[in-house]
Amino acid sequence: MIALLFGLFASAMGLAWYNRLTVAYVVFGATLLVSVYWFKFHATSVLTIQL
Amino acid sequence: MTLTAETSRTLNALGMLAVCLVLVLALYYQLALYELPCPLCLLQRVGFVAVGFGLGLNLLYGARPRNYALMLLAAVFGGSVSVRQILLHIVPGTGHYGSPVLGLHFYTWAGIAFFLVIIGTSIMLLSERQYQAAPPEETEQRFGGSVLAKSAFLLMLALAIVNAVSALLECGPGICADPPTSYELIDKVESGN
Repeated sequence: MIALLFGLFASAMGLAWYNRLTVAYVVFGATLLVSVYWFKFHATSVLTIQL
Repeated sequence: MTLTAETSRTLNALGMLAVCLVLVLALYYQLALYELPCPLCLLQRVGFVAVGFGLGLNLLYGARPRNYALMLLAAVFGGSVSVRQILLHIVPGTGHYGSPVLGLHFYTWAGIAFFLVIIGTSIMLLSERQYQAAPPEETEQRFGGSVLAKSAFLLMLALAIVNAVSALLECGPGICADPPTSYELIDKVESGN
């Protein structure tokens, strides 16, 4: 799912290119929130802690 | 501090190129030395791309405080991921991830880079003059007509797409393996599952 984060940020940049700034900001904010979720997921996963 | 809109755009373009350089180096280590990025490493790259979004908006339509704010949020996110990974390996004997570059591992360099982004963005925010409207002929054009700014933006966009493809090949559509050992999606396709 991390691939999706890159894709969404790239989409936000594309939207900004076409002057769809409000949608670009919304996509950026939503993607950053999902990124924080994945950070929490991977930072607290058992496998990582056992490294 | 007095900074014209044009100088601000040039500095933002140079900042964008610096962030691109970090992503290119990470890709070089991944592709040339076959060092697959771990999930936290990938999330640090996500942080750099997110910083690139704020920089890109400054390049496209001129500097705005809210774009700098987005950069700060992105840098705090990326820095948090870096610090988490540094703390994972800070105790002697707990190993490390990846090979060192100039004595420090990628996650440590990433932490330093995000720290520098926060300092640099804060310094840029000191100048009010950069927000003044540029001449009409400049505002009508994306990037204010700057080839450097346009090139930096397109390079970051390309790197975001390349990283999306790379992460998809490594992790597949699901959760990334930790630590990764191979390109999961390629393995699945080759094995026919």
